[in-house]
Amino acid sequence: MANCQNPMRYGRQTPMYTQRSTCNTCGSVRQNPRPVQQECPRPQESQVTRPFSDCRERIDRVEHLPENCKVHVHKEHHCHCSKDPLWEMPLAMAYVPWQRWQEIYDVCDGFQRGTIFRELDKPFHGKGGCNR
Amino acid sequence: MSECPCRKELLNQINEASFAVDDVKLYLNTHPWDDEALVYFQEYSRIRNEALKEYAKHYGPLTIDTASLSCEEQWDWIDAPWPWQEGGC
Repeated sequence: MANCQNPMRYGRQTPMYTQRSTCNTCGSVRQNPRPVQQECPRPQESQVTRPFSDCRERIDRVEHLPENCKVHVHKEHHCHCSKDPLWEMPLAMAYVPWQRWQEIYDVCDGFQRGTIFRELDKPFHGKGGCNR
Repeated sequence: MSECPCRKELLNQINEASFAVDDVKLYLNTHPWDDEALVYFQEYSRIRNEALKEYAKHYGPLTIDTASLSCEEQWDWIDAPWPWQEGGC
């Protein structure tokens, strides 16, 4: 029957901890507690002094940690944070580097390549995020 | 009378210069005070215009701006092959 359909079928699912539950004994209403987050382990001393080039390896090794712990470990190491030009820029914004007049193709090559700017000549190879 | 230039070469020159002008035009939209880009634009804009005039004199106009160069005695705008016809673009 149509009136027996679940009214939440197309609705947005809410996280469990934001839902309320009613006690079967006394009838009181209480909100489910937030899940307890796993405590971050302290980084070892040897990791702190490792150079920037090893950053990726280090992040891979903490892959099993919860997301907030990875950030913690990342900051503890002072790794690429100081070398990232976008560090401390607002999140969720797109940044496009300012183009300069350089590396201009000959008009013949530019016409063939589809751009007169060598820097913008990025043929699509179907995988990855860079020009290989 | 001057020697007739190769039609294919002229068309190629027009295509290349037109593309360069179009591309530097996009760059200049965001960099209006870039002197090198302005010089580049002026140079290839001139090359393009001269090539278009040369083409119009010998093979008929490609753009309406050059129609007067080949249509002095009679209107031949529609005489040249269309781009989808053999001998067109």
